[in-house]
Amino acid sequence: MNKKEFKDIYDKYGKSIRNYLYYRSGSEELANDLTQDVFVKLWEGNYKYHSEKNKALLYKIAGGLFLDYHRKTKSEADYIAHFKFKLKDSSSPDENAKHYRKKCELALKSLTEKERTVFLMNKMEGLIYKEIAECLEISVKAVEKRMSKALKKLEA
Amino acid sequence: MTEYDKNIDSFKNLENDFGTSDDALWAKIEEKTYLKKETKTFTLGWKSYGIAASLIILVGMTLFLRLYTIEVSAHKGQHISHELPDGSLVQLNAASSINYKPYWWNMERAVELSGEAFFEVEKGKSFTVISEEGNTTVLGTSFNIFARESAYQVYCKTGKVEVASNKHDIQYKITAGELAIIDNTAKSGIKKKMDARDYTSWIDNKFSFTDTSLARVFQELELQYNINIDYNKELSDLKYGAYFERPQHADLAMNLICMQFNLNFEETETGQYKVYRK
Repeated sequence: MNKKEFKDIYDKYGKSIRNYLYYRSGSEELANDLTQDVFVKLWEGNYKYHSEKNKALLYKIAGGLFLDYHRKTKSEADYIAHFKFKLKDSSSPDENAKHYRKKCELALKSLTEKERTVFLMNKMEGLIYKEIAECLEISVKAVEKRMSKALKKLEA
Repeated sequence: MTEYDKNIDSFKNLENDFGTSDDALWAKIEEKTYLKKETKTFTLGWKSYGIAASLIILVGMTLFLRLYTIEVSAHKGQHISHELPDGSLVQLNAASSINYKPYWWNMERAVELSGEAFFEVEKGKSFTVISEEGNTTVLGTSFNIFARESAYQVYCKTGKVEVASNKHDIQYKITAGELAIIDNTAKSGIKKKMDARDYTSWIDNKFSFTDTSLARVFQELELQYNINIDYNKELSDLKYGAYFERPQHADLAMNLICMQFNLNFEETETGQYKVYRK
């Protein structure tokens, strides 16, 4: 993988990886740090450039680093954390939108990490189940299961 | 659309607020990956290697300059004239050798001598000739040193010379025309006025003996012609005096000397002479 290819991978997946790490950890700071680590690992691992394969690899590295981090700090409590989002179109912040945002942020607290991650990848990033399954290397069935659980919880 | 659906749907309008843009994050990643390797470590490594290498070269060069030694030696039957780095001249008599450090010459003018040599020293810093038995220090003169086996004799032809024993507290300052002899075995020495001829004639390819023991005369012939002379030791103390041009061949010199004492000699094989009474 040369510099240009490396940059290309970052442009394609950097955002998603950072989001993914955020969905899992609920900490912007950690997501920022770990995203850097993921790409440093990718560079140092000297992998062959292959857009699709690299994508799965990135998610794998990210997941691994996140688990490592938790094993080390054992601070599961604080990542059930406080999700704070901003509105995409913040030019006309009407009260209604603000209201929904608050609601969304609060709603996530009831979900487990796995449910939340899948749910946000689908709803916020707009990935379809098949894509999510590929990234996380789980079956589409498993994605469906997690989604339905999440939706049920939010309904309550 | 129910309230619930609206809630779920509104996630679409949200985005993460990381506080760091994708570009800023990329800059950090660049710093930690290939930029780190190509600039930071490279320059650091280059610098420290450079410093280490130049130190090694410096020490190595100094050692080389300090220790590099030239040896000049004349074999038996050979005379050699050698010019030192400052233009001082050394005439090496047969079976003699000198050592000196040409690249350290400006720091220290020092020559190690074994055998006999005549020095014409250019004016300058002190010039020392080191031998097993004694040291001779001068500023700029010409002198002859005879340092064979345990004998140590210095003859000063011009200028001033300081002679010191290496083994005992014996020291002489001699001037032109004076000879200093140091005898470490007897722990003694003398200084006396002498004719230059006996001590410097060898330079002009002449033999000069004044009241010299036959043993010493034969020793000189052995060195000058690279021969061996076998003689009865009772002849050793006979005194001989003569001054003559060094003959081309040992036979002629032997003949001259033996005639004086009414001795006969023959060359039993090449380079082997036997001396006996008639």
